Amino acid sequence: MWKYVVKRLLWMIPVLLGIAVVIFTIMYFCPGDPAAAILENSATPAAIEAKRVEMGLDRPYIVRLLDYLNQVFLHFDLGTSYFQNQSVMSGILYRLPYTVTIAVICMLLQILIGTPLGITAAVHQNGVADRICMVIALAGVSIPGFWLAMMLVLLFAVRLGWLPPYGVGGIQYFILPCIANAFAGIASQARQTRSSMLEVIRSDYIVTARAKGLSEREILYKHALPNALIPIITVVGNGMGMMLGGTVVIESVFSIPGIGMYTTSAINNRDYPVVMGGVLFLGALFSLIMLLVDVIYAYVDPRIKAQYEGQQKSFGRRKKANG
Amino acid sequence: MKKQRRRFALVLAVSMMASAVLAGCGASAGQESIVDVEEPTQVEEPEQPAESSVGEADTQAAISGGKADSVTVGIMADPENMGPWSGMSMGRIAVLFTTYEYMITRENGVAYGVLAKNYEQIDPQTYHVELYDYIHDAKGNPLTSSDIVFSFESAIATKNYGKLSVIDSVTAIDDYNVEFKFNKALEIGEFENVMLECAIVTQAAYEASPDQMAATPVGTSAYLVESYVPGSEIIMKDTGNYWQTDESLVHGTSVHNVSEIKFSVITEASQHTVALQTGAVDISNGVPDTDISKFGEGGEFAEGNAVGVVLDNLTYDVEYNMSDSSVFKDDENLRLALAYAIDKEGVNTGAFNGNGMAVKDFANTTYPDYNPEWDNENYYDYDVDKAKEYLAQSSYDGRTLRLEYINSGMSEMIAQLLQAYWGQIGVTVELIGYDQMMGQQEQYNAEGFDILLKSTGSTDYIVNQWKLCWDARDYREITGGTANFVVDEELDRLMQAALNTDTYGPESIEAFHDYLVEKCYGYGVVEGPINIVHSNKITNVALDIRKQILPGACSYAQ
Repeated sequence: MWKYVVKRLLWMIPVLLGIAVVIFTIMYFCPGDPAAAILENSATPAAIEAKRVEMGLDRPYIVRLLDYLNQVFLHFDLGTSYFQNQSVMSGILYRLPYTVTIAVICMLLQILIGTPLGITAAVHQNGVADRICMVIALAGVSIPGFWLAMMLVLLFAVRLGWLPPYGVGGIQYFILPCIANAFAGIASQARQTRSSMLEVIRSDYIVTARAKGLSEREILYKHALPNALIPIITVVGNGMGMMLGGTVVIESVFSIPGIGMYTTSAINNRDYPVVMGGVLFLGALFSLIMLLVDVIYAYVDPRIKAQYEGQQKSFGRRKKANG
Repeated sequence: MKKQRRRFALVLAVSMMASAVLAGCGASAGQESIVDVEEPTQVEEPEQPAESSVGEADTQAAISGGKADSVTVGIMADPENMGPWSGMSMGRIAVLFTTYEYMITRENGVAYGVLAKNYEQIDPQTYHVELYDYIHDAKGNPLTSSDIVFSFESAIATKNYGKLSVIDSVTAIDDYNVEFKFNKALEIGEFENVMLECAIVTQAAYEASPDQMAATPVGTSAYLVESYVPGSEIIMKDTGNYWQTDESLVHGTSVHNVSEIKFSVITEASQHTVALQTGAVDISNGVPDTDISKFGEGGEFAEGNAVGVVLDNLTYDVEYNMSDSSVFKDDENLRLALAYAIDKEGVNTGAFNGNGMAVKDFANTTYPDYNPEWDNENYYDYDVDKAKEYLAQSSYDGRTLRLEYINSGMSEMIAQLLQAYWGQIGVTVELIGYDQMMGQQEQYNAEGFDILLKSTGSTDYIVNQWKLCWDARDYREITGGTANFVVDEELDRLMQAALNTDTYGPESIEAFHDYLVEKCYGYGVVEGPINIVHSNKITNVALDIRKQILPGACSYAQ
């Protein structure tokens, strides 16, 4: 198992290298000039050109690319923001806790509400409970996050005055953003859980379990749910990755200085180091989360664990045979 | 099946009702439901704002005004870097004058010394500036000539400030006298602009800063940053140790009527409305136009709040692409046809609810050298028949013209209005909107557009707004002429005469204005408003030269 993890970690190097080259190339060809962004609107073309030279933006593509790859992969330096004059890594690390807080709370809400909703819907397929759960799920995937966010603000901040409308501070500042952000996730989770559970519930071994006289509860939680977990875990993993990427809309509506705001503001300003550093950091984070998801698969489903171990054994056998 | 349909209908009805209830949360009990769309659309009369006094920082008003313990200002963006010489950004300009002082300041178009006690022109390229001999920064470090040299040299080295490129050298004559040598004879307003471009700090404070003052700026103003949460808030406190102890010498921008200022970063415009409604902020210039009426007289949140509308120093203007390949190059009739087809008052009503102003020049009325007589002139006044006549005389062949604009703020709305007005006379226009960065680049692409909608403005004289488009010396290398590719020696001569300190005056200004109107290479359309909503805690709102709120210089209810 550990060998599999190490192998996957080593695979991350070419993946990140690929991401770095692609994002650098995109930013290079992206229209817009960071030198012009730094200067005032009244700056003359000559002043902008002088700034471009000073920033090294006049150098050829290949020189800048190699310089960037050298800086990132050999010196582990994501560069310095053109605007903040601050290291990109420290900028990301400063903002990460806000994004992580939102992502973790949303994930918990998604798992704790979405999964039971999906199970209830599956168990009562075509019944009233199923319909109610699916209407909630449909609303969740249909209602835009920003609209829900504004509605929540109007109700809980403006009308009732219970919660702050924006900003960061104590946990109360995260309640509205997390509800607004988690709603769609809860819906997806409920739909995925329902469909996985329905598939499993129809399996022969569930029929056998029923025939053996096991209680419905035992069948559900001991036999059906563990077997339905793989697609559910995939949804959770993907969702976590996406949320760590920054929930741009929610961060913008609630003025939360997270990673999403950091990178979108950098895109608008053509702050190349921040955009490239942010994307690279998120690429690494996403790869790690996907690795974690794969490891969880192995723990949830012994067949997958055996598969991983089998791969390593056959690799070992091939090595011996060749050696 | 019937049962299921009934259930489904019930669920739909419940969800629709819930949606309507939630949507209604934003409206007061007395307001009509926003879902009522049966009423025909009507153009609303401009809302009469509740009484509010807003204007450029005014020393007398600021000093005689009341003081307050704290004020919270809603700003649209994070300053990101508050260092004295970092690049400009929307967030940065909101806190700039509260953080730093400059050699001089401007009040209602007149320059006053702040750190500079006196300044004099020695020759066309040399100025001497005398400093007050008792200046110290917010941390108590004394400020002398060497700090001025350090500040200017550091600012020049960043290459962030194009206006400083005219400086040849800055030298300390003694502790309190500095010599500025320039690489050319300065033009009108240029010396003041140079002095207003560089934030002044002491070398000691700058070198002691761990982050080049990015998060911990120390200027000579009365305020010092107490805490900064990037992307969220900045709290500044009056040190109680402001260097200028002679109140008669404290100018508007340096007045400190409030002990604690909190700048709250609110990136979503509608949240500015919410923040004012809930009392989370005391003042904001970020409230969307559509929400202003809520705070005006008779509005839902009028009680305890006031709205101040002040004209911006930015003018939305139309510039024709005058490059060789352009349809406008040799077709004055087409240029005039499009100019007469625009109802500028209509644009003002459509885009700004009538709170802006139709302009009568390539600039607006806020400049001290604006000639009020122009208000009575026919400045391509809306005349569809005349526009059609000019169009008939032109060589326009029915092709679609491309109007380029920056797709932020009100530019998009104005572009759509222009498209409609031009469509009225039979000219088809395609809109090409770019974000700020792309727009800055594409405006010099002669093949990329036919007409450019731009907003330009200056903080001092009308001629310096004209310069932003018509001074070919700044653009020749890229465009071969002015910013919009005009190659016209007479225009160049008149522009330079208006900018030159020896020839600057009503005559040269008038000559340039008349020539531009005659040639119609471009024209101003409308001047936008800035809406400031504030609580009644503030009795007089002070703005800096960039029309940003100066919380320290505002007056407060006693």
